[in-house]
Amino acid sequence: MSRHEIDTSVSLLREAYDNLPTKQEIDVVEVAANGHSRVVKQIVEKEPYEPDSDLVDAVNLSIALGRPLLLQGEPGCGKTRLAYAVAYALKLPIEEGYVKSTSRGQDLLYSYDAVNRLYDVQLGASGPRDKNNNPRCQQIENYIMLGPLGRAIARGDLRNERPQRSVVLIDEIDKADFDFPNDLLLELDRLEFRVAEAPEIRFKAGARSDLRPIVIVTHNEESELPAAFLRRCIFHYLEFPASEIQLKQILELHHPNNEKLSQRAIAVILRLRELKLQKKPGLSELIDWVGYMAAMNTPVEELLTLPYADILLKNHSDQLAARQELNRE
Amino acid sequence: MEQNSPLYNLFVRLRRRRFLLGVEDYFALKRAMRLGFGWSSRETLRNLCCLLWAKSNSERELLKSLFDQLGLPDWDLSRDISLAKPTTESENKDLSGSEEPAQEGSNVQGLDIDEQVPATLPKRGLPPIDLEGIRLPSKSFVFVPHFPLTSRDVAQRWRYVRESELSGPLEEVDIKATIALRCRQGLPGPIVLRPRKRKTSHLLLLVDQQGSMAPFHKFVEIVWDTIKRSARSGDVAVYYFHDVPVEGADDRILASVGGQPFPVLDDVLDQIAPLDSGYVYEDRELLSPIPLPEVLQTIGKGANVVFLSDAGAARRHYDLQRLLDTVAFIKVLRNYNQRCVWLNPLPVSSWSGTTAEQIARYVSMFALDSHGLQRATTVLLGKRRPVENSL
Repeated sequence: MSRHEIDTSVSLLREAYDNLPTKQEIDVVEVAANGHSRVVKQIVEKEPYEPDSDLVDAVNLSIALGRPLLLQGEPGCGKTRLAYAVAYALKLPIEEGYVKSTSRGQDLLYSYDAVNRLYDVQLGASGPRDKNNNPRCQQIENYIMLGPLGRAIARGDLRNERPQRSVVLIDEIDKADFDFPNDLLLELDRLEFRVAEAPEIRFKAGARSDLRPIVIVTHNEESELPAAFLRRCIFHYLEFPASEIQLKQILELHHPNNEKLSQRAIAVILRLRELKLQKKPGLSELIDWVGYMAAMNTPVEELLTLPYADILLKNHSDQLAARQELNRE
Repeated sequence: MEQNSPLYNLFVRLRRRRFLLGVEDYFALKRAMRLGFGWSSRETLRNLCCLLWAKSNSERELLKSLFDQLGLPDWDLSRDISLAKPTTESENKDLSGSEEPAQEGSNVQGLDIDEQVPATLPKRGLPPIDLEGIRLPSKSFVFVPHFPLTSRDVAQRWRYVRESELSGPLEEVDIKATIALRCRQGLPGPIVLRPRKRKTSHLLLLVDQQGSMAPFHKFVEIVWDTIKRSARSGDVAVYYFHDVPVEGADDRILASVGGQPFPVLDDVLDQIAPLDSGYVYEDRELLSPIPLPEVLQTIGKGANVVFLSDAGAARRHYDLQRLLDTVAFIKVLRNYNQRCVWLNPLPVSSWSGTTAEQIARYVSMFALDSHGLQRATTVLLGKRRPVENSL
């Protein structure tokens, strides 16, 4: 584990985030496997997000020390959304790596499309050609696609005309094989990689600390992560917001001008969370629930009958238990 | 000097509790504090320690209570937080929007740490932390179970118990098959694809519950729960039993060995008939039985079998009937051609003179600790470990 240069060039600020516009245009540097880069403008929408001060500290610490931030917590408490909020606050492009059960570490860096290259070779002279009218199949970089982490590293490479930092989201890392995080140790640590099929293609983003990608990893506790990987991370556990005020602020962000409905909904959900349910309703369920009721103009008084319970509770026995509890009054 | 620092004490205590911490992690905390993190209140310092040193929710809870034991005084500088963190001033510029993004500008900020160090110190100073007058509360304990294996140990050891399997959509070029096809046809034909390799382990876990196993429930649960969670859903099945999964092997054959003080089955081993007419349970309370043949048919085919049981060693019993039933059941497993290991929560030294000692002659039995688990995984991967009689 190498020690990284400290970076305090950027940090997340809670108050500043609230004041950001709801939409903004950012410059995104796009890099291809052959090293060519260009700048495109992109309009991104603001992610409604209300991080508590602990979370802000966690993000800032992970940026400063250059370690990935490992987020854990109940499903639907905003682990994934944080990455979008950080990217928006810092005006950085986001790279999303959604992990699947078949994912391999290399997929996050690049993939080599050997099949298409083989087909193109078979076509010979009549095959597809590149800009200079050479057969495409002669150049291996035409068949190498950078993955999310690979793009982020390539974007921060000093050889670019305009190197840029990115936010990388590696979502639900525990879905992949146990070896997946281990395979990425070196790349996450040094922030550089080399394409095995074409060793001359390589990128490095770790050269300057303010170009280091900000890596956010989410984890659902489905399985244990390897110790070597854990050691390199900053760990933060996202709790369901403890206070009513916090919940109110969050709902206000997503569905403004619904104070009465929100207040009742919060009261209901806090009561439901005290029950022994198989799956407690989380934050995203609450936001969806209130949003739908607001759209349907559901009268506030009806809340105790738990309308549209299917949004909140994903289990028949949970729904029955919840109704019973709410009917006791 | 360093030894007296309360945070160092905390660090040492955490290491003793097998937190994944090295010297680098201690320095990471110091560096973070030099940058201005963790000064504004006791709470933030505690959170900082959690961020850097805890790696799971349970570790975080433990760290919190150990931190509280340090007996640091409370302080709160949250009103002066902007002074404690001068980085915020430079931040406002970056985030206010009119400026160019930070990555665009040169590396003016952030690279020269030394220059920043004096600036990151809180300007009004901290309340003095005087440790001399502090007495640790005499009645404050943090009780954490200490098992011979942690969930992390199990996950790490168990990850080798997997075999590659090709499944899923066709994604990869099968070079060998493609070349073979071309050689056969003599002209360029289609490319042969194959699915990606996945690692799987088909496993049947049979967990002894209740009775003499009661003291080990928590420990054993860590083991099977980790094994179950580290596999894909459906690959690992857990069933429970009490003492032996099958009962009622024909005990008439015992008549010939019954007269000895410590009868063994050697003479009648061949006469024991395989027996699978028993029940295992889906739940830990042993309330919903499932016929064993059913389980073996659906899950057991080609799967490895792992027993988690004390095999009579906990009560220091020698029970011939139990031995007979177990042997009869293991004969069934041999018919299914499965690899099978027995993990015993008791150490090897406690097996002698009990049923466990005899069972270990027929099945690879290991103590449930780090070394035993490692050897068990090698057996499951196909390395033969000679047992006296593999039935």
